[in-house]
Amino acid sequence: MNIWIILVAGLGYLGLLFGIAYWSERRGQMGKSVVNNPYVYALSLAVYCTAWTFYGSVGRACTAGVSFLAIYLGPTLMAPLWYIILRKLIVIARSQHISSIADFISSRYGKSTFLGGLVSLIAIVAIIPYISLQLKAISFSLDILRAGPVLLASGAPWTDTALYVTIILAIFTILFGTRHLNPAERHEGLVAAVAFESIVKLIAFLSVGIFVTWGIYQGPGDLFGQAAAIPELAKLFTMEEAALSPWSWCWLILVSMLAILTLPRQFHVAVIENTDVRHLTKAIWLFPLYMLLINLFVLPIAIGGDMVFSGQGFDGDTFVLKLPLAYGREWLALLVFIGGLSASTSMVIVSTIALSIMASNNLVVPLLLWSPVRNPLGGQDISRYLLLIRRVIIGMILMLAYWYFATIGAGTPLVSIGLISFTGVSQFAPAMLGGLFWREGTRTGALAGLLAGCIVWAFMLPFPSLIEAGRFPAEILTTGLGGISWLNPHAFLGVKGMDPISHAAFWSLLINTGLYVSVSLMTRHDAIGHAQAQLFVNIYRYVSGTRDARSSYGKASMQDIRILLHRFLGRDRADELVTMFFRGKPVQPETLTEAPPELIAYAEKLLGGAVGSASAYLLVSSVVKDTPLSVGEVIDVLSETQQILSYSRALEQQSAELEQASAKLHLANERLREMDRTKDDFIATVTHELRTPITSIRSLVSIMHDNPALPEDKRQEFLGIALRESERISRLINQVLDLEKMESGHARWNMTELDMVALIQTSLEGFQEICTQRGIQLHVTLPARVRPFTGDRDRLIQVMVNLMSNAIKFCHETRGEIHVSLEEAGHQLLIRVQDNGVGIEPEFQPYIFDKFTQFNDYRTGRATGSGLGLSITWRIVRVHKGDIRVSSEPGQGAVFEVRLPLSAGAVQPMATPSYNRVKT
Amino acid sequence: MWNHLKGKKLAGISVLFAILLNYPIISIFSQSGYIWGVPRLYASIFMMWLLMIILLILLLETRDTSRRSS
Repeated sequence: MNIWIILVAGLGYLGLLFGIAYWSERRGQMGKSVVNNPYVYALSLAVYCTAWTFYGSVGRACTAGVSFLAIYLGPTLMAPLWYIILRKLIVIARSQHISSIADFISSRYGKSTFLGGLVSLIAIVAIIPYISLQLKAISFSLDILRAGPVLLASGAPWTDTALYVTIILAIFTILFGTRHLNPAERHEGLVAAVAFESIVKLIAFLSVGIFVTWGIYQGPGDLFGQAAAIPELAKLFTMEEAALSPWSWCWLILVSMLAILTLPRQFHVAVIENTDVRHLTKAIWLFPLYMLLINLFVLPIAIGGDMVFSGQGFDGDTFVLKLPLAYGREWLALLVFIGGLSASTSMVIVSTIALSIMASNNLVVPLLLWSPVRNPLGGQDISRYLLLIRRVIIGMILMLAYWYFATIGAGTPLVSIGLISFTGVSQFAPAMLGGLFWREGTRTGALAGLLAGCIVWAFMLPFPSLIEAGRFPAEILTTGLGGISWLNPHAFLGVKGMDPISHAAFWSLLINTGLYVSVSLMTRHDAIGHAQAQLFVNIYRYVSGTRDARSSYGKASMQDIRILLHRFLGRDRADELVTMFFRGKPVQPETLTEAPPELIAYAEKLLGGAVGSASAYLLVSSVVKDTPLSVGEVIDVLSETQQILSYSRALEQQSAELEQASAKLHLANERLREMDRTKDDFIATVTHELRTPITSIRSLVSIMHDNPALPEDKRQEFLGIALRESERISRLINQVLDLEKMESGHARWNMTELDMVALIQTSLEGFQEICTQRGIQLHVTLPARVRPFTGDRDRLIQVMVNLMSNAIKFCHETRGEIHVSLEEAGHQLLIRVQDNGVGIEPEFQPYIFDKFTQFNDYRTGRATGSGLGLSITWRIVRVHKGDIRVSSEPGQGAVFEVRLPLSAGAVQPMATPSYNRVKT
Repeated sequence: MWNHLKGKKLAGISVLFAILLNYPIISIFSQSGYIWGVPRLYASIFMMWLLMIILLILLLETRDTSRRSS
């Protein structure tokens, strides 16, 4: 056929597409959208059917019979589930401003930039071969059409049709998809053109099918009847004889089920370009119907082509085009070419635009924002930069696709290349589906699953295709990578009996899903991850209705905006920020009832800083009119986010408090143990102190009992000792009881006004004689009178007695001197008792008021006294709110000073024990 | 218009045809022979496919159901 006719037809067709796009966008701007229509939506979903369908299915049917149907049955089986899955995706994408599948996954898992970048990168790597498949299809269809039924050998690179096709497609896509920047990433014109192309490719394919079935043959009966006579063709009619394993069939269906959701172009047309979620209900049955129709004549064309070109060794991929040419139907062949062009261009355009959106939003812009160089996006006109970036990306993607075609893909059948891509993008499915329905799916889980799945996929599918292209040694496919037999890309761990696609799909999806689930269960969400998971999984709770997402801010009352800001920023700060906003503006907040749009945007930004951008958006939506959100629901989401934040803060605080408490407990425990030990010591000492006099009494009594002939004077002496010893026992017991009473707080205190001078005189009376007997000089210095002191008389006498006994006990043996004095010093009474004995070693002084602290009498070498006297003294003084101190130098004697406050009239009956009570 | 029960019915259709169109059920149809001149396996798959579409239309496009659910 004349090359000019082909070129005019081809370019004319592209021009027509452009015209349709332009027209539909104009209509959309006038409010008469052609795209807002369920049939257009369903037809746009048919972008699924590419050159792979148009040319490749026939080729596949020629070699593997029914297997070509699997990748259309998968999406057919998925279509009813769209009612659940796709609807949720659309609602989420609408409310969250999702721009691509990469954006979706990134946003779901805590707005992870890294995850978004990773998904974009994987998508590009997986889709490039698929795009190259389209380039290949267009260029070979051109070659066939130009040269007649016989394929010419290709020549030098510049005669390569694919290169020109690539360049034209790149220009076309750039013109198509990046004329202006649309914040919602909607392209009405694109959708209209894609829907139109779906009609064209269907009509073209059905035309060939009808021509072959009823033009060349006399209906299907004739066609299949003739084929039945040829054994190689007849065996294509059943699965077993076509050597199609149940495994391959099942896995192809599964992978294509997932691919219809995860292919970037499908996600783009089905989710991003959706104008009304209600269109889904029609698409659920229209889309399977479309696929049924486009597959109806695949087998007749394959069988017919096989019989017509019997023995000429043509590739089945070319039959669709060659059959009309072989029968001289050039116009039909041209229609087929246009149909194939439709199938390819729609895929290339939508895929490249979807990938460019992904790459610019999730890879390039984040990288630019991170770059240490002056922020190139800081300028005024950001949209121009973004458009430029997208155009460059589109060019690069298409050039990479061409490079793949020229180096690797030229000799591979169309379907095989496509299936590699399908398996690649199906790796997004666990993270995506889990993200929709499973709140526990975490970022780390998604990351682990995706990374592992993609590595396995890359190792099992693209890597072997590189091996086959001669880039790596061929023995890897037989002996495994690096000679490790289980690292075989086609028989991992020695698994046999699966075709490469099923094998790779099985392993990659198994490892991917397994890691996603298990790592998610082992890790926790951060705050934003939790909020996003909650929002995505329970989206219907937060979004009601199915109206369009708002493209600009609507109306909101000043009051509502204020309430929101108060609620989340605090009243004072919110008022301050609002005042700041109105500073220098002609209007003042008090005069407004309706919030200006700038204030709404400002409020969202402020809230974004407090609760995260997604939450802030929801929140503002709730007060802006004409939105499908209710305030209550939004506040629920946010309260939850806030609760988590405050909960974690509270947890931190609690853990600090716990630490403190545990330290206190530790200390208290130490004290308790110390007290326990003291108690034990106390009992041991008391028993010891009791045993000593009892022992001596018993031995004396037993002497008298055993010796009746004991002289009377001896007997009298022994009885005297026994009497003193028993007195000592009762004294000790009294002291112990006394101390115990005081410690437990049961002691009774008779508080009266006392004349301390008289009291001291009284207490010293008994000691005059003892001092004289022992040769101790007692000097008493007392003032005539002091102010009256309120206290317990008997106890205070006990204090003096104890101090005096102590002084006498430790006084100098021969030249003993004791000074007792009382004086009124300011608001307290100061009583001093001073001896000139051995004194107290400094290291013992802190313990002197402890119970049973006894000091050896240097003269006798044994301890004297119960060791309770000073302890009781200390307690009595403390109950009177006074203070007792000792100062001493060894050999210089000791001075005990008791200070009693005169103002402390009231006395607490509950005495403070010597050790601190444990606070419970 | 969105209805929980309808979603379940649709999922049921999906599962049912996934079973019908897979091994081992599909092996019943994978035999030599023709239906209206078309190989039996192909004819069966396309007929099941069409049946599924008809069921979907019945479920989604019937006025009665959509009125009740909305």
